[in-house]
Order: sequence, then structure tokens, then C-alpha cells
Amino acid sequence: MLSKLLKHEFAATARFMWIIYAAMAGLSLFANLSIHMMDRPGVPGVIRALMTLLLVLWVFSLIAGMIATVVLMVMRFHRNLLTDEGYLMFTLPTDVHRLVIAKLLTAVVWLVASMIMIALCVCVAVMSTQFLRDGMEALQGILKVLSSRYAFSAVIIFAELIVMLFLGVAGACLKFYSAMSIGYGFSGHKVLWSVIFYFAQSTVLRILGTVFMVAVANSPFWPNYDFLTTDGQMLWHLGVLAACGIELIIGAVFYVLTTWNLKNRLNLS
Amino acid sequence: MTPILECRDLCKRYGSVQALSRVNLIIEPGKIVGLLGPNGSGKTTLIKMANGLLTWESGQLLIDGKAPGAETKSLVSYLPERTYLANWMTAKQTLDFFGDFYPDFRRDRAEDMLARLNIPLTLTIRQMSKGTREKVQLILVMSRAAKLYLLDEPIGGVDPATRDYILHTIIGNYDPEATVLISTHLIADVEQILDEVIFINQGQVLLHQSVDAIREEQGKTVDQMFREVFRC
Amino acid sequence: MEWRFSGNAPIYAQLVEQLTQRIVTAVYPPGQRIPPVRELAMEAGVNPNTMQRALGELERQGLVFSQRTSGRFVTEDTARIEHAKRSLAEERISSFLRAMEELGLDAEAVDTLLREARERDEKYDADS
Repeated sequence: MLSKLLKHEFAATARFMWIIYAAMAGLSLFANLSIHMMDRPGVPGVIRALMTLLLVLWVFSLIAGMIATVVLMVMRFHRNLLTDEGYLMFTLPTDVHRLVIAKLLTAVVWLVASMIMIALCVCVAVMSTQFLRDGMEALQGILKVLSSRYAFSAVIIFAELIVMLFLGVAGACLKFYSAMSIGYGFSGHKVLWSVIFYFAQSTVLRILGTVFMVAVANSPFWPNYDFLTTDGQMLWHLGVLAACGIELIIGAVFYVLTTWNLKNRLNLS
Repeated sequence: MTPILECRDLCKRYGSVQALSRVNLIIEPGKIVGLLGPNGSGKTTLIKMANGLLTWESGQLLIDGKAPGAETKSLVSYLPERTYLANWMTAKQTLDFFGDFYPDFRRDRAEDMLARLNIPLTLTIRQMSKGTREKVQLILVMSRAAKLYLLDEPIGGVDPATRDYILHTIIGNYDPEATVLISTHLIADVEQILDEVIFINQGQVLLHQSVDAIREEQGKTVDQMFREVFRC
Repeated sequence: MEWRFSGNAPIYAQLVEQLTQRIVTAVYPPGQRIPPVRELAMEAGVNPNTMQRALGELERQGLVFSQRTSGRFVTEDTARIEHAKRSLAEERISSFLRAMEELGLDAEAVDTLLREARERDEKYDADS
């Protein structure tokens, strides 16, 4: 059932995502052309100005692409579960959890894909034989590091960062989902309540975060922990793992808020 | 035989309004039942609850002896008042969707009905007229081999020819093991196809009888009786 | 031939009458197979359960019989069909006479009106 939901989610979202990516890619190619034009001597001022404009547009398109992805993922959740389409989705022979997870997984994939897309677009824009040469050198350097005695650690660090990225993105999505699910449980002013709860959630998180930081900083834990003898990397790993753990817990809280509200307070109409 | 739909002392409140109060109902399989009442009487609330779209405070609601959940949803085929299909889907994509999620979906039957109405499979929901949209939804819902069909105001707001089509589709789809519950306030049009009727007002069930019994005992049509019972 | 329903009598009773009419007027000739319940129900725009009930009544009266695999057939017993035709006619005559009574017409007046109506009809037929 989840796989069917995922298949449907991707079909529904891909139909506009590919347009965004096509636009980003197209503009990146133009950006590449204009960069090469700029490098060439004897190019008239007008052309230079146009090319600069194009580059500015290109940068905007990358930022816009990312924002558009976020907006589209939020709108997708809203449209499919909180408007008339909800009548169809919530009467499918499945549970709320699968419905939310399908949306969450799809959103995370597209958001990470957009980030990768931006990176690729930058590469495309600055691509030239020089860049290729520099790139090859950098890649070789990285490989050397990886095959040295730090190798194991470097891979682990990379993996940890990836996990943190995914958890962070998922957490961001869940914060939106939660606010909307709560907001749409009210009988009136649903959008207003959703916005209010979004900011309320952020505020609460910030407050709790600050309290937590203060608590940790003042806790008796630190003085006993002998930093001088501890491996720097160990500290890093602990820190990242702790951050992941916290992100996971926060995500779980918003997940529960989302599903509970959809199950018990939602009244479509 | 387990009733396909059963309510025991069911209560539902929205804020200060009591939408359903102590509703007791038993609907046996194999009937076409009319849920009749004015707007705001609780018809839609009851149907939403049977679909698992709403929770309630007290009492029980059972579909084929079970509480509403993923399992009962596979037994129930729901036609809401609104268009619940995504605008961007083509008729073919809606067939794919239903086929994917509902094992009891009879695709050949749906395709046949769409063809007979000359609805091209490549037409999107957005491009369809309101009447066509409603027919497509009806076709999808009735093409499932469900045990309970819940039709919420299926004939309100459509022209007489479409109304006839809808009623004929309901009859033609009839299965002695399935039940159809039609909620409507247009009684005269549906009376002929109903086995039983339920009168509901202000969240309470006033009556649950067979159409023939009403005609024999009261000497009037259900429509006439409704007008008397619900006189303003 | 159209299916017509009025409000006050139970639908199945009206179906029984209209099905009987079809049989006695040979719309469904003796020995002929009757369409299946669902088809008849769709044609008449009624609930298949109700149609089933009406057909069951006809079976009880012996106007129709069912063979398990082949379906339902009109009886070949022409005497029975004639009897049914007579019963139907008698019912309608009773209704008619009751209606005339309600208008306050006595038997003589009714006979006169009937004679005049028949003469008018014959004249009309002769003229056209």
C-alpha cells in the first residue's frame, strides 16, 4: 500500500518538478555561455550587461527553484489531504500513517534532489576545461585523504552529515505538516490557525532549545569530562549523534501531532 | 446475518451543536435504503462517520460488525457530494488510481460505461463539465464490487437526464449482497428504487420502514409523508 | 409500452398489475421468456427487490413459471391467461363504477352515457 501511495505521490509531484528543474538546467547552460562570453576580450558593453543580467537571473532561478520546491511540497500536502481530494485519500483502505509517510518521503526526496540540482547547476554554469582540470585535482586530493588513515572517519563523518541533512529536511517538512494539521482541525480561519501554530511551534522550539543549551552548559557533565585526553573526532561524532537524536525526537513529536490531528480533528468540507 | 451498518446510541457534537443524538440504526445487507432529511439533519455527518472521516463522542458505529478503519474502507465505496478526484488527472488515470488501490474495482465495467457516455479517456477532470465529472465519479464508485455504497446527495444539482442515468446505474449495478445507502432530500425521484427509508431530523432518527409498508399503511407516497413529517 | 406508477399503492402491487397487463395483451406471449429481473427493474426504473417480489407474486398466481437455469417464462395455460384478463377487466370496471357513483350517477345514467360514447366512437371510426 505504501509503495502505491509513493508511486502516486511521485507521479503527482513530478509533473511540476521537472519543469522547475528544466528551467534551472536551461538557465545554467545559458549562464555557462555568458561566463565564457565575458571571459572573451573585445565584447561590447551592451552584451556584457545582458550577460551579467542573465547571470543574476540564473542565481535567482536557483534560489527560486529551492523556494518553489518547498512551497510545492507544502501545497501538495494541503491540496491532497486538506481539501476535497482528502475525501478520496482518507477513504482509501489504508491508515493515516501511510498517507503522511508517503508525503514526507516524497517531499524529502524532492528537497534533497533540489539541493543536488543546485550543485549540479553551479557545476554546469562554471564548467570549462580549466574547471574540469581543477575539479580532477580536487577529486584526487579527496581520494588521497579517504585512502589515508583518516579514511574510515572521513566516510563516517560524511555519512553522519547526510543523515543530519535528511533528518533536518524531514523535520522541516513535519513542522509544516503539523501546523497545517492542527490549523485545519478548527472550524473557521483554518489558514490563519495554521500560520499561528507554525510560528507558535517555532517559538516553542526556540525556547526549549535555549533552555536545553543552558541546561547542558551548566550541567555537571562537562567538568568531569576530560577534554584534554579525548580524541577531537570522538567529540565530533558525539555531537553529531546527539544532534541527530534531538532532530529525530523533534521530528517524531511533529509526526505524532500531524497524524493525531488528521485522525481526530479533521473535518473536511 | 451481520448488519452491514449498525449504530448504537451514537452521539456526535460540533461545538455547541448536537449533530447526532442517540442514533440507533440497523441496516441489513441487500437493500437500497434512502437516508432522507432536510439540510443539516445529520445525514452527511452520519455518512462521514461511516467512512471513517469523523470521530464521535459516545456510542458505536459498526460496518459489517467492525469499527471504521482500513479494513472497512475496503468494503465501503463512497460518493461524496463534491468532486474528490484530482483536477489534473485524466479519466484513464482515475481508472488506474482506483484499480491500484481497490482490488474490487471492475475496470472493464467502468471503461464500458465511460465509452457508452462518449467520455474520452484522455480528457482531464479539469476539462470536464460539472455533469460529466459527477458521472465519472459515479461510474468509478459503482464499478467497485463493494459491500456498502454510500452515496451522499448523488442527484442534487443535476439535470433530469443525468438523474435518470444515475438512478439506472444504481439499479443496474445492484448486487443482492451489497447495500446502497442514498442520502438525499429529493425523495420523489428516488422513491421507486428504494427498499427502505430512514427519516432523520436534527440528529435523530424518526422512522425506518420499507417503502411498500409506508404506502400500504399510510396510503401515501414517501414523498407525501416526508412533507407532512417535516412540515415547516 | 410504458411503465407508469402512481403514488398511493405499493410499487410491487402496481408492478404486478402492469406485468399482468403485458401478459394478457400478449406483449409477453404465452411460453415466451421474460427478461431477467435486473433488466426489467432497469426498464421500469424500480428496485430489483421490488421487481423480484412482483414476479414472485405472478409465479404464485401461476401466470409465470421459472426454470432454474433458463429463467422465467410466461405460462402456456391460455385459460389461466384469459382468467387473468377477465379479473383485470373486472377490477377496472369496479373502479369505473365506483368513480361514477362518486359523481352521483345511477345505473341508468351510466348505461346511457356508455351507449352515447360508443356511438360517438363508431361515428368517428366511420368518418376517418
